[in-house]
Amino acid sequence: MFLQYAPVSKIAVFLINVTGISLVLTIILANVKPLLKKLFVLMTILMFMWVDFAFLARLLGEGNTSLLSIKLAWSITPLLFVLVYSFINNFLEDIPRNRYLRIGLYLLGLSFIFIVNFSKHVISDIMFKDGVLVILYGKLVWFFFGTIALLSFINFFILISAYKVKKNNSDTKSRIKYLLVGLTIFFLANAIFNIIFPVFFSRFDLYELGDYSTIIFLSLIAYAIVRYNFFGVKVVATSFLVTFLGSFLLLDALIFSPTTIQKITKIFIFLFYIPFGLLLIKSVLREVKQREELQELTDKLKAMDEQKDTFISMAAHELRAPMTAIKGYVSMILEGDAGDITDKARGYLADTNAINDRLVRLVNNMLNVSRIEEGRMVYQVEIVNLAEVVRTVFSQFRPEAERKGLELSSDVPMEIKDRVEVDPDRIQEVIGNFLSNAVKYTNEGSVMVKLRQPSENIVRLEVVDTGPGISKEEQAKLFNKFYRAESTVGKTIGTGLGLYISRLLIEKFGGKIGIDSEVGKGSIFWFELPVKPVTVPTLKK
Amino acid sequence: MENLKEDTNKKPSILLVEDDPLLVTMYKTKFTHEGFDILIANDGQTGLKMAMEEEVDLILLDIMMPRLSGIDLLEALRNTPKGKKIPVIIATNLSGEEDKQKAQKLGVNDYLIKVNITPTELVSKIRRDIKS
Repeated sequence: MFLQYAPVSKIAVFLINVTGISLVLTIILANVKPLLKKLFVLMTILMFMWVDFAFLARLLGEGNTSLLSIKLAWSITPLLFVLVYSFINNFLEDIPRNRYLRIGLYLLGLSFIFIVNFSKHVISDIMFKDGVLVILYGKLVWFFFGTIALLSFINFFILISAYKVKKNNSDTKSRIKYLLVGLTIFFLANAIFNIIFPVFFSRFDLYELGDYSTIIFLSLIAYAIVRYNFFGVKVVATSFLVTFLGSFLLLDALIFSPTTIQKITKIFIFLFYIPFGLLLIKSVLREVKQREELQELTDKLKAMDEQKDTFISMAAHELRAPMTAIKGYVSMILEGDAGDITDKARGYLADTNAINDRLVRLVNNMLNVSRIEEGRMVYQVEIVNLAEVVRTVFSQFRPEAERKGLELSSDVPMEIKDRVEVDPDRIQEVIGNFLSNAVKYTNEGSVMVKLRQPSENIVRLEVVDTGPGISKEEQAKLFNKFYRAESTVGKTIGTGLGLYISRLLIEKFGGKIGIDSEVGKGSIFWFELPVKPVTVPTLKK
Repeated sequence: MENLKEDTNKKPSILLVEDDPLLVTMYKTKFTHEGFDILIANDGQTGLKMAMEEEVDLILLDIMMPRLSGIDLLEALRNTPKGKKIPVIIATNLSGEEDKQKAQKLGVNDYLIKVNITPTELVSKIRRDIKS
């Protein structure tokens, strides 16, 4: 007779089976060691036997078949724990193994299949009380429970000692953690619902909860086997869906089809469905794998980029030390620290200084470019009088201009409103880049720095030169990274970073940057910044 | 009264903590020329030890040095009652923004990039910082 066994349990058992199969599918299709795959499939089969035969016993009600079913379910439990032991040993490769122990445990596990099934010493009989299956224990039941407890403890022991050893490998450690959590849940659920409740409180109605905990354990094992990403929600959901639909088709074919023709047709549909389902899972797995590879590549690139940055700052540091010494000694000689020198020597030294300053700017640009681009630059923004900055930078270029016979002048109207909110060091670099280019590329004539006021709240700086000028096509690209206007000025030293950085900086400070030029008629490099109004302190009444 | 007299006559003293021999020689020449007493430490650890043992009016500190970085030295220095008040100028060629912010948080009178400044300009900053 069939008991009106709780429909919830039917659904639960069905879902456990579907989940089990989908886990097996995921593991089989993923890139996992063959031995681990085999062990996982074996563990799943034993779990199915356990859960399904125990369920069958309850479903069938009183009778010999039920007794046989429950015995079968019990008999394979020790072996399941032995498989777990075997799995852990193969999964955590470098832990010490004992062949004799393994063989011994397998023999122990197998022997219980005989003891439980063919004797009355573990389960002597079953009966049904108010529809709940009650097991009458035999003499050896504590030996049976004890063996399971022993096997569990061996597994715990291995996992915990492996966890302690793998101190530095966080990936393996987290995998061990999943196994430990799974084993703990499994062990506790079985100890409470399958042993403590029935033996000490004679409560058999919660019995199946212990069985069902196997699925949690199995899921966590699967999770530990495949890499985290492989086991993403997407893969599991796909496997689950494929299995679910497949089981539905199969059940429909085998159970709910009245005629043979229908049965055969539906079985064909089911067989037709299988390869597509598997393909679907495989493609999702492949996609996840590609994503993972992409992530690895990105990480690698990031690391390389960091290395590059470190290299640049170290190189800059090494380059700056000798440049500091050159600048220092030259300035000391020019200031008379070493006694009187001839005007000629003074001129040469001024040139040395100018060339050294050019190198300094080059290194500064090199250092700044990635910082600005990646937003790592920290700006010390304050209110600055642009005219003052112009004066400071301007004087640096006087020696080089004089040397080349260029007329270098500045035109800063007294009444100009030049309060701007910028990082003074950075704005100095921008003006320095403008002036450096102008002096470098102008061979005769003049270079002039102008401040103008195009409107009430805009201040405009212009560097006007009588150099070769720049064509319209090149003007458009001039402020791009690494671009150098070679068509008019020929091959020159420089990184092609100065104007690019200047543009980034001026845009950062809320301004505009540009060039007006014509080939043969010189160039005007300019930028415009918003003027900060002078705040008049309000008088307190 | 005698102490006070002695103090006014005493040359201002600077502790230079710098590992690059080229720059040590240059700064030493310049500072001596400008009438300073100069103490030199070639690494951070020696620098910290000298800062604690000697009486100096100002410390000129590099950042990247063997054994103890300038930033770590500054942090250790600022944690002692004696080191709290000494004016410190950081002069480095490694212009990391993190270092700069950390140094400013710990309290430095100036944070300079060596390559951007001449020894004379440095001396005027030192004079100003000793006075204040």
